[in-house]
Amino acid sequence: MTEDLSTPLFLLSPLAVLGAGLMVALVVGLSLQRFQIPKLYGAVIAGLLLGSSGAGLIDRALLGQFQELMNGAAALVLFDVGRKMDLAWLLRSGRQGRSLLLATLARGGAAALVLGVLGLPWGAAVFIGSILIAVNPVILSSMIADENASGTSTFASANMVGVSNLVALLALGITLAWTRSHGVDADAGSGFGAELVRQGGKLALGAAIAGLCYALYALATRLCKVPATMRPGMLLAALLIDLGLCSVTASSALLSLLLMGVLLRNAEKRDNVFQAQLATAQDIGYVLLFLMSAALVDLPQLLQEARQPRVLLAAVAVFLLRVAATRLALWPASAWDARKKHAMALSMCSLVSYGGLVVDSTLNAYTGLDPTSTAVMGALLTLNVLLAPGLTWLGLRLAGETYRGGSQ
Amino acid sequence: MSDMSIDPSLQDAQALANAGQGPAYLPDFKASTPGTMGIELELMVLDRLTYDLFPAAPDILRLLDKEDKPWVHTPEITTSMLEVATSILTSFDAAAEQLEHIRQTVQRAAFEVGAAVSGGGAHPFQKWHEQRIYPKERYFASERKYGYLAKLFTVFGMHVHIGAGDADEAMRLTAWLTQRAPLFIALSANSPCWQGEVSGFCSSRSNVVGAFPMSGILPFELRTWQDFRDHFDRLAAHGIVNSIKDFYWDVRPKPEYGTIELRVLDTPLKPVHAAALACYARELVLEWVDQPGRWPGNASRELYVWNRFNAARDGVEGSWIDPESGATSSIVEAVRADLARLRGRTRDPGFDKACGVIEALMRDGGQAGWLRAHLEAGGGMNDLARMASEMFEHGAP
Repeated sequence: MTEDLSTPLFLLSPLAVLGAGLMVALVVGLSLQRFQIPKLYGAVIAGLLLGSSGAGLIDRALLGQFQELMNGAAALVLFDVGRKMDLAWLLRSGRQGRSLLLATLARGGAAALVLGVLGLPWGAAVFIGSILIAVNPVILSSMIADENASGTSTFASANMVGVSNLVALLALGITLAWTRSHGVDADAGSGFGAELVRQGGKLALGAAIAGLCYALYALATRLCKVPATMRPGMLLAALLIDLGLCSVTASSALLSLLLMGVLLRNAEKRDNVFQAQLATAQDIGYVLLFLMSAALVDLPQLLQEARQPRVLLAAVAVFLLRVAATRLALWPASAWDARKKHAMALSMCSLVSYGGLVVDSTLNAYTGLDPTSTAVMGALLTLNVLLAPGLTWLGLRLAGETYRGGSQ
Repeated sequence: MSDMSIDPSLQDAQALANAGQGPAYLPDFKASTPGTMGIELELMVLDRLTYDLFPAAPDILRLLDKEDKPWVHTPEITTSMLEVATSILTSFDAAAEQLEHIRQTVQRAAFEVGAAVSGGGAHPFQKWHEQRIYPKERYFASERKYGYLAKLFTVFGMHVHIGAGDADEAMRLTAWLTQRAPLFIALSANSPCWQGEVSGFCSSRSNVVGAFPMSGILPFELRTWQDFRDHFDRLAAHGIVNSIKDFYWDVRPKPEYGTIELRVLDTPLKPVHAAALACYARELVLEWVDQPGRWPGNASRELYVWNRFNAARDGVEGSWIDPESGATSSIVEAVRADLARLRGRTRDPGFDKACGVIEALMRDGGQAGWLRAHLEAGGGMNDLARMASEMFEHGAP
């Protein structure tokens, strides 16, 4: 019987394959860290070795089996993003808060403009632009944790990630409605208005679920008067209820969890001391999520596209212009010196996939775009996996807010 | 207290000596007006989410550089601390007004960069090893010299400078004020937690400074400025000290300002507390100025250490052995007796108000008692830091 099995047993288990990927990512990442290279590149290398670009062990089919897990993890990442949003500061810090919002809009606007000018259909350009508003929370949070970054620009960057993801989720609701009603695979019976109501409904329902679950959590904490450090279990329970309700109602889990974070931070100010309890799980989660992203990168495909310079050129132009637009928008702010502004612009270079903003079964790609737009988005995601961790790391180092302990 | 400006060449020599890069240097004692005062506060810079210490002082200081103001701001040894110092003051009202201006300005700058500020002598749950040395050679030199003690010294004190007249008088007044220093430890005590634990002391901060080799008090046998200079030279010859800053005494002369410096207080939770306590110290000094040639009768270091220990542990609820009479009383009684006597001779029209503030500081266990009550009501360490920050940010009264 064993003679019939040409595949090692562990490869038959998706869980074992993913575990092996995580092990490789951590071993490589931690080894790289000794040479001052960001740990997240362990996940990049493991993803490239085991994913579509390499052995093909981790592919869409395998990851599809972990869709629920991935959706939950992505939503929990957004929860933490929301928890870092300081609404009082954003609203009352004057030019600081305004410049972060401006940078958020400028990133998406610049991306859409460049793509449109380079010949993509304007509808697709704006659709991609709305996705590119968002900064990748996994990359920034992971780098902040790895480099033990703390300081004013790190604080502002964390706020900008929150703002960018919130704005992107709202903008994507509109552009998705347009693309679904006018895109290449538009449903003839579905008009823009109807789609807009559908997308808006998902967001509104997600927000309502966040309000409900937050109220449940607040009630539970008042029934059980123990210090906040003893309540992470209650928080987890509330988050699971939120995720479950979003799943059965097909509402926006990402917006819902993001808003849960915002509520916890800004309405229940005295319950925000879960850092220590969450740190280890977050570290592992970041590596796993990025490993999955890297596994979906198709390097041979990118190399093939390099022969069509238009796609690669568009991706590189968008990548660079997002950084430039962010830097320009930070100009009026007075809280950070020029070096920190450069640093923040670099740290905000990462981007998210469509799947990173809309939790569904499509993983990274949205199929409603024309082939060129899809190729540009693919190239952008590849650049994101290859370059963004390094540039984000460079930004944090440039800000001078990283710390490895010990004597100077 | 004399003009705060210092000759640039002397300043350079002193800066090099402070950084351990130049030869040992002790400037001449600058003549000053007795009873003038200046107040230095070391403030905490906090994260607005967790209320842990937050390394944002360099950014706040950069914004404060742009302000036109009568007071000064400087960095401190770690990047979560900043120091502010008033101009020369002569009354409670002026002190309270300027400290309130400082509070408002610093708070505004801190908010702009996304931080909060707070008074308090020690952060309740910070971990010393997580602190970052301020990127300045003087502080790196301290770290090289003192190792982990440099980061352990992330504590927040209030220093009161009082004009001493001349150099020899400064030695006499230092001896007198040293005797009374434990009362100020008790009145300002507000650091009941240390590294995340309830310490059992009202002023945990007071115990940290004892780890430094030159901590303690002015040796009683030093009676003149020349005695002190000889003492300094002997220690400098052994490489033990390089500047006046190496003396971590509870009260020390500060020759470049012409002052004596009371260094034992936890930074109060409110600026008005700081103004009142500084005026109490000032009035005591003025009383001794009016008794020329008289020295403290009791030189017992053990008695001082015992009074200090009691004050740090029990705060305003502690007991006090009067070094002159040997009588034991409560700290509250000793302070009230002082205030009653000083009220009768003060020329500061605002001193009555200062006495009222000090009276409030002795109620309900004082500042440490207020914080402990919050813990006993179920508040966590983060909440404690938050409460302290809110008290500071709400300002006067």
